[in-house]
Amino acid sequence: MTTETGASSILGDIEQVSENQMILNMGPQHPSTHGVMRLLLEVDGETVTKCTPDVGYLHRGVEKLLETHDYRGGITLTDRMDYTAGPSNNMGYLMAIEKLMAIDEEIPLRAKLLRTAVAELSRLASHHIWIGTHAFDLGAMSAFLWSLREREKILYLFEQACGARLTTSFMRVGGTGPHDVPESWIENVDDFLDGYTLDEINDLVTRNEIFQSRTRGVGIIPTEQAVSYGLTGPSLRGSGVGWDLRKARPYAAYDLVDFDVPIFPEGDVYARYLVRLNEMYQSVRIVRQCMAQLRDLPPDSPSNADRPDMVPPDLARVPFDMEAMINHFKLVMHGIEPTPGESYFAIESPKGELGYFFVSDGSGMPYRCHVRSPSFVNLAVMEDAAVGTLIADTVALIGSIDIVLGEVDR
Amino acid sequence: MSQEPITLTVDGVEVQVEAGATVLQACESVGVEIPTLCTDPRLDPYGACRMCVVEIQPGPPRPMASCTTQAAPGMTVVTNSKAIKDVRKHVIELQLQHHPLDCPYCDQAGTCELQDETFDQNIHQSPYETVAKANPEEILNEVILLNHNRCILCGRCVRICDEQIGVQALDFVQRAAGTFIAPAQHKELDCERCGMCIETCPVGALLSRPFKHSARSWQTDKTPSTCPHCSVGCSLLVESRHGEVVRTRTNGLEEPDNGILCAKGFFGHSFVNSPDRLTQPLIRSDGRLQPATWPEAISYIRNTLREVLDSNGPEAIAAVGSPNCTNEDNYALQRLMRDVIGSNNVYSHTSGFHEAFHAITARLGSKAVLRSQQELLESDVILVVGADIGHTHNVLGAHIKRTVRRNGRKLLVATRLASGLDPYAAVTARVHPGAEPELIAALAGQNIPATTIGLEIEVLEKLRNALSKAGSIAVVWDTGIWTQGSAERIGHAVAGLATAFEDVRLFPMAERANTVGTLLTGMAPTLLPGIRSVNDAKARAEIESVLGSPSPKLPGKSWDTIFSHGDIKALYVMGEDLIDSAPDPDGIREALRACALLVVQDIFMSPTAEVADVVLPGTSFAEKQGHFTNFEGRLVPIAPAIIPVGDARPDWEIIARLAAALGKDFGWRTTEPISDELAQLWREPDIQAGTPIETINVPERPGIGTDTFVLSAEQHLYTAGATGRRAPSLACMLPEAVAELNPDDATRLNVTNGDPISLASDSGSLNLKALVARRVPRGVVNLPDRFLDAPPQRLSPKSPNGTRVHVTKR
Repeated sequence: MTTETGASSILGDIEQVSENQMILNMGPQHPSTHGVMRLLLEVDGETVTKCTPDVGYLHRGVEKLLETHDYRGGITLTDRMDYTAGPSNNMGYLMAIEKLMAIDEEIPLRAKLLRTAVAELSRLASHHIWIGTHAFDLGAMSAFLWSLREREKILYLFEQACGARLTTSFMRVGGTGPHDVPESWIENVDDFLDGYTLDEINDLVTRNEIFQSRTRGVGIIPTEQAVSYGLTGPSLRGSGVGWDLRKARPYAAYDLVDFDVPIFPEGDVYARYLVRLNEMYQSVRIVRQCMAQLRDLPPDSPSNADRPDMVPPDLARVPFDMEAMINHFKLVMHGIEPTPGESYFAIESPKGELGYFFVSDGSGMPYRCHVRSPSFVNLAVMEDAAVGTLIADTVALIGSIDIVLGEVDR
Repeated sequence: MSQEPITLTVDGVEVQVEAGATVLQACESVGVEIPTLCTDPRLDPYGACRMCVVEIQPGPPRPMASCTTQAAPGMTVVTNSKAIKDVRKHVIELQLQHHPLDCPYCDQAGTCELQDETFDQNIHQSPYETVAKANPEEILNEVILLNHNRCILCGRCVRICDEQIGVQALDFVQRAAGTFIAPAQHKELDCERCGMCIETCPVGALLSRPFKHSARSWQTDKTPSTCPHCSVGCSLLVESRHGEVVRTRTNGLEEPDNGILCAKGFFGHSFVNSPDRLTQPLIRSDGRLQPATWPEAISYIRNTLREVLDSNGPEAIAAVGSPNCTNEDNYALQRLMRDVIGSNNVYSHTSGFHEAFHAITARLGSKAVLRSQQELLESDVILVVGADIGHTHNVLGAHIKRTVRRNGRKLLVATRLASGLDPYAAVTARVHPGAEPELIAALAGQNIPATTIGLEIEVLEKLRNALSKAGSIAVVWDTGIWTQGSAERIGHAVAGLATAFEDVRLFPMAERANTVGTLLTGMAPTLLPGIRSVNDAKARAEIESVLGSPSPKLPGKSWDTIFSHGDIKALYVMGEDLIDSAPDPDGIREALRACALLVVQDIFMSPTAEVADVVLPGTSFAEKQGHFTNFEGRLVPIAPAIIPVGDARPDWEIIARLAAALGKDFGWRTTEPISDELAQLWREPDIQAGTPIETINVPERPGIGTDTFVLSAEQHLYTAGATGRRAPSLACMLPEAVAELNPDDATRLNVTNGDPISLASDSGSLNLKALVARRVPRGVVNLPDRFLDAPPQRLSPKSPNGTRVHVTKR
């Protein structure tokens, strides 16, 4: 992505290219780029005339790594992409594999409800980081602290469910895997939701005059531009397009719960803010419904598909049952071997359409794995959207697109 | 039985098979997979495991084992009904009920057929409580372990040892629920250690001790290659991991090995990663061999060779090729000598095969030799003479036993020592060591008294009878150490035998992997590639047209006189130890020291390398590409399984680099152009018979006193020279140099196994350990060849076989 002028500008952060034009390096170490990203800004005074996002600083070769792990072993790599919403990433990965193995129809209801619930909780967790840092970028300190306090509670719930807060590696192919959530978890989630409110945020940010003046009418992404750049998620819905995979192609338990998809047509930073804020209310609704349905399930309802050729046996049986030992050995050492073919599956992650594409050659490892990460696609719109804004507004724009560099660079 | 094809129906699909095929084969021919546990393509159907059951109409109203049921016309076979699947499930469940939970550390896990079947058939929960057996692992011998707990009693080990190897070392012991596999008659497993029981075991019951816990089966890289230990040229699968050869296995069921290996093939390759390997070039300076870089070594050799060339001419330079190296390596060396240096002084040392080959072709023409193994095994009578083929060329021995039993061939064994082939032989004769040529001449009709050969007159008559009734006769003899000094005579006698009977096929068995290849690539002072004479102007012209440069006209010096006048100033030795294999080690050491330049290219330090000026690290078979030529003249490929250790380089590459340094770049970057060039120069040997066949003379032999023994020297199954000694997994079978004695003689000398003894002849003496062996006849002491520290030549420089020696206890 480096332009010719950009390449020479590595020498310093600022370079005068003509009388009125100056090149400004924003990043790669900059608090407002939300990670290690560089924006090459050509500015005329304080107005941005050209913006080139330069990415790749956090590239770890996750796609190639996924191709050298068996399907099960790749799970831990996925939550290191969008680390603000680990379970959501796990889920997209697993569901694409389940589609590849053609067992997506066999996932039990309990697993579907749990997946939906943790996906929405991770949406909440992700949006809390976003609100906090976005408001912080624009000068609001308290919102950051209060927002992350709420996020902590959600991470605590993750920890209770699977033992990890951030890189959860929750769920396995075919269901929840060997560990289901403990019995008290549903109660704890309900308790959390009972005490959950966004009133403080509304008071501090939504109705804040300074915040509004920094965001309304700023960084407008027209509908056509949003569509042509392939934006997805809140960034798209903030430009008035009602596209949400949870409604368009319901997966997991989304067809079993009621929720609305907030849409705001203005296309400015504030509209995207409002989309996410309202989504959080909807997430709470979804989680509540999931919990209610989980309570209604019979206590012995399965949480893994009845597919011993893909789901390893109960670990407690392995040291005593030769058949279970063999099954476990084969699945752990050689992995699941899907028939040759390919599959693409996408979920509505907090950032937008998170898709996994697999090509199988019949071996235990994917022949090719590609991740369509929403942050990477959404970031591209900066090139157009930032032109004509002030440098300070660029900061608001980055925040409103809500990128995670771990996912951009992969 | 009619030979018409049979038509039957398998799962609704019509199938046509040959008469005599089993239902299992019929199913497999249309891609219907039937799970099996006791089936091995090398073995006869047995029906032990009952996994392959199918429903057959018309037939008995119960599941039938498809492996032992013959296909019949109009049969309807159902392979996948619910009832059949249930039977298979029960078979596995019952097997697993007592199976130990060893998968995490069992060597077989990953290639375990029981494990695969369980998983493939979706069996994931035991209906029983698993009650694993917990017997300790049994050490059967140096290399084989038996874990009874994992055994499923499929009998594959018992059957392969019987049907394919013909040793019958394993058997079922006790009956019913108490049955287990054990060495036959509860003794220690004293077998040929071929490892085929390990190879065929579908589970982890029989295990290789050297391989145990060293790698998981799916972690290894698998490279098809060829065994470098003898001239049978068995196909191998070399499994390597992290640059180390971890094990070797059989590779397919094709000729010449037909899917079996011997002790050397299965256990003899750990030398590749021996710490003794030469890993960098060494140059002598200040009287010591010091490490050097490749450019230094190459330029040192180039400069010295130039000096020798300038002052003494090309005739003062000689090169010795190696039967351990590939055709390509040997071809490269002879091209360096002929094309770059301009000398025909190329040799392939220590080969009774070359002598036998020339002796026979001179009398019978080149059609008489290099015949296929197929022809050998299809002969009516197979006559094994001299050394025990079961030791020198074990896999061929196994094939002979099999063809005798299966196809009714008649086997005549006329060896010095009792052989593993004896139980299969129609006539067994114990020949006096050294009297083999006389035996062959006597069989050909020459009037030689039986006592000279050490035989009863009746036995000789029986042998003659058997030969006279045969439509075709194969004569098989090893050309190893025991023919030293008599290879020419044996060739002569055999040629006489070939003319005395109608269809006689001659199989002089080359000792080492590529002995035949050294001949075909022209590693002889008088022969060009393709076994054509140096004096053949047409051949030289052809070679010139391929290479673009003339080859020298003068034949090279004879090897026997090469050092006698001191006119060899520079010697290049590839993969050969001249000193230890020479009749006169000290003399040749002095001659080598006198050379202005001695280059030794090898994989291990040898006595010859120790006196060299430059030592170059070559590569073993596991690190390079190329071909060997086996005893049939068949090209067998080898392929690199690991990258060369240290700074070692493939032998052909070293020679090509030296040629380039001397100003002639052959343009070789891979072995393909070398193979192509060799193929262009290769001709079907065309040697016309010319030398007349005469009777052979019978020498006078001194009698045997009470403390004199007749020395017999032949290669042992567990020894493989410098490489075998450095392969711990092979060397453990016979760790020290031994002399084999008959039990009666041992008692008389008051010697037991492992006692130090000394052997003395007129020319020298050897100190080694005694091994009391039933296979040695009374009055004979056998010295297994290729122990580095006890070369038989030390007792008798010219011809160790038949020498009189004194044996004393030390």
